[in-house]
Amino acid sequence: MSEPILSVKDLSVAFDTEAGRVQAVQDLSYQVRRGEALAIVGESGSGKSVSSLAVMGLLPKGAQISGDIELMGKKIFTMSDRQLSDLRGDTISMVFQDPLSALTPVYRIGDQISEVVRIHHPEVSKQKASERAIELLEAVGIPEPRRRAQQYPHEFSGGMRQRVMIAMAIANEPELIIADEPTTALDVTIQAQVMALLKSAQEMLGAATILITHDMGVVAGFADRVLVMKDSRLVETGDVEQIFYEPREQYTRDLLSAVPRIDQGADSESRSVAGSAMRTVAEVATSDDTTPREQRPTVLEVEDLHRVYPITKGAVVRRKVGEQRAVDGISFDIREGECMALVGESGCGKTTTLMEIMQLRTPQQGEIRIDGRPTGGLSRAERAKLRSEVTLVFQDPMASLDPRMPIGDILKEPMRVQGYSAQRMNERVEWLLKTVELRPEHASRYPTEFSGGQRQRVGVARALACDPKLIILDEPTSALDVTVQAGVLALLADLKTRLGVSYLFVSHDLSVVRHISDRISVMRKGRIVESGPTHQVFENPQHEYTKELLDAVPIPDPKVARTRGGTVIDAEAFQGNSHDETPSEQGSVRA
Amino acid sequence: MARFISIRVLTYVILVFLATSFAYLLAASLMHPEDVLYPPAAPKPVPEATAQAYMNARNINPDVPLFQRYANWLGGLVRGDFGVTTGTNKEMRPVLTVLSERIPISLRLVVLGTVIGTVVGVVVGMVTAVRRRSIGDRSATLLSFVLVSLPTPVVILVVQQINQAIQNRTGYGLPAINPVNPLLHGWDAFVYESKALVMPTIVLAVLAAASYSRYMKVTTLDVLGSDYLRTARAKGLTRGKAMNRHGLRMALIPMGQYFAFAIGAAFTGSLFVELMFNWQGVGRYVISAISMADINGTAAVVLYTGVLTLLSATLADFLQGLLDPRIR
Repeated sequence: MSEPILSVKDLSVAFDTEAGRVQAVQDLSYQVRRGEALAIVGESGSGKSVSSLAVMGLLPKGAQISGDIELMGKKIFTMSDRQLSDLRGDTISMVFQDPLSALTPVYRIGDQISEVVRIHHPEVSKQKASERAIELLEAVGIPEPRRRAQQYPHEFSGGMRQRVMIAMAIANEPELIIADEPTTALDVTIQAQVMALLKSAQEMLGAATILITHDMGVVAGFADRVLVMKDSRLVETGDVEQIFYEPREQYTRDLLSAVPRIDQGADSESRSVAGSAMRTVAEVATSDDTTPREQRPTVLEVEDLHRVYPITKGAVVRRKVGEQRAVDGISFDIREGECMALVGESGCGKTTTLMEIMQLRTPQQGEIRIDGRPTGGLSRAERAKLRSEVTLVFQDPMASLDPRMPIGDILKEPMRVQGYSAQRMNERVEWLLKTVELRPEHASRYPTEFSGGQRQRVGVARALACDPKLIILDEPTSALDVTVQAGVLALLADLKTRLGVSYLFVSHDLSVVRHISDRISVMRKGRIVESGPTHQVFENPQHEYTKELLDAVPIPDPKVARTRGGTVIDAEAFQGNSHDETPSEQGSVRA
Repeated sequence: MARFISIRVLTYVILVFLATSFAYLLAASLMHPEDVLYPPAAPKPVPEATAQAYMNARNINPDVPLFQRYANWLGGLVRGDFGVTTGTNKEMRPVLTVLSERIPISLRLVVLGTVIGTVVGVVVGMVTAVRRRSIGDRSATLLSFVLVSLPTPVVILVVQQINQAIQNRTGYGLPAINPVNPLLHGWDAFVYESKALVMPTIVLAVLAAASYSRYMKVTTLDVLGSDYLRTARAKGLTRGKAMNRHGLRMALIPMGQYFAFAIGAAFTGSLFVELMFNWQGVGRYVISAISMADINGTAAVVLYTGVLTLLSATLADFLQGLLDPRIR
């Protein structure tokens, strides 16, 4: 084994906040060797990001740090900001979580990349540095790099911005790359591309990498070694196989077993612990299939639904210059006690679809029927009544509960609208809280006193308040940690079988959907490209796009994950042998 | 682009026209220049015909219907004639001439003070945000709040008194009031005028800096917590360089709006400065015009400030576009 590039010894980081001292990291020790890929895994608040910012020397001023970090033999806590700046971007570089905000909006992409070259190599001319930026853009797979380098960040998509971040990170051939949740904000197909790019960039440079993530699936395909953190402390560290196949600590086991898997149906061959807890969710979700689907009443029918937004130009006189077909003729139906999942990547029209349903009005084109009644012909009173039958659980449990209302009032509000008596409301609040596995005395507390998972349970309870027939779940678990997500999914599956409600489960995550839904519709660019029973769509996908989506979902089993490939970095372009369209211009610059 | 500009100019012309028309109609219906000309307690009554001729010549005759006078005034406006001054002095000077004398005086005062004040405010705001909770930040914050809460005349008096105290001690000092000294010529006059400009500029700059440092501090604090600044640091820029190269421009984007409107607002803000330093600027003129029931003068000043405000708005948009490629 080669020398460690980075060694962290007894690192502790604390912040003084208004609520007192908060320990973000405690007694963390680890080493990273040359060329090694280490994954630091943990749920929110585990201290994984803070520990990596400490390595970069980028902790905020108020942080109280103890311990030692040695980077290639240099103790970074003894170095000044100037000395550290010489290392950052050159010896050690970082890819951040949110590519949408990580680039300065007012500078051109090319200039932002060439800046990192020029900071550490001031002798390189401006012209040469921008040529280098174009090579780097080509290396990370940006088409038309010469034109793209002249553009601003807002003209790039999220995935492309993350490629730009990677281009900046590899520009000076660093010894260590830290990637902090590099794909959390990205769609699953883009995530697969970015992770493959990061992996191949690391292999090309022979750089050590630290991947910080909460996603076990991403870890399996990327890391050599895994370090699990919980509540600011190290839980377990080991080779990726050991962690996935024979975890020693209970927490690691819990974390893994809560990971949803798309390959669940065809399991048994996988030795990975991952997903074991989710199997029970799937069992609960499918246990009651007694009446055949065709004989059950239809709760929601959507027929040939269209929603077209005009694209207008001009401030005084608006002219229509085009149209955005957000929903382009989709049809589906949901039967009683059924969970139908609407899956697609951002911008595919899932949210528009559910907004059209929740409006309870005549759609632009097509028809929506709830319980067999078209929403178009409803009177105001009927529409208000229907609001109790079709309810919604929102994505963000922090934002969707009024922070100034106690939980009890939040739950009573929909009942009050429907004219329930006070006595009945109190009884129901107690029942609802018990149903979502909270305690009745929680009714007098405020949302801020609850964790994310508990708040989402309150959100579900509110949706259940007036005995709805259909609950629309808009990405109900995407803001939650994986162990919490498992609990909420188990609750939803249980409610479905016990109460017989139907779900329309809108999600971008195929692996989550696998465990809870009976049927799946895959949406792309406003159309449903494939629809069918869950096991059929997963085991025998028909449409090209469905296959692409399934291939992109990471699998939390190192052996399986390694067999999958993806886009690779363009090493030729990185070395400067660009296959650009303008060789003569290129040559003259180089000469 | 040409289309965009022509639409914008057209809307501006309409806006200025409406604002000025309202001002004229209000002034013409509420002000009574005849009372100023011939007070009720006049020792000797003026013959009716003389009074009528006098007021007709100035288009301020209350016996002529309001809209007739408005039409007369509009006719003049189209030809570039803003009417003549009215009031206690009977010289009938064209309002345009009066304004063209006074506008440069005000501009000299306001532009310099605002530019210095904004630059100082931006620098102070940025430094106090970066060095948050330091002694420098605390004292700058305290000082700017004191300045913002003090009435302008108090600030002026303090500056004048400091100057006076220095003059008493050392014998050297700046001219206390009056922007020009009619007794001096050539180089001496220039020196005197420059010296006379110092104190009013200090007052305007200090007041502008006090409020702009507050705005700038807030926008800089936003920028300090941003991801792109962290990226810039991760690229290897030191704290200061990252702030100058990436943070400053982002913090300035919202400031563009404040800055441009500062120029518009400074014309009203310079009122006390003009009064207390005895500058014959536009602010002083509008005060006297209103007190003498000078309808034409009042309407003309409204037109002037309207044009200035809209020019400021254009400047604000221009700055915004310059700083932020996203809205180009």
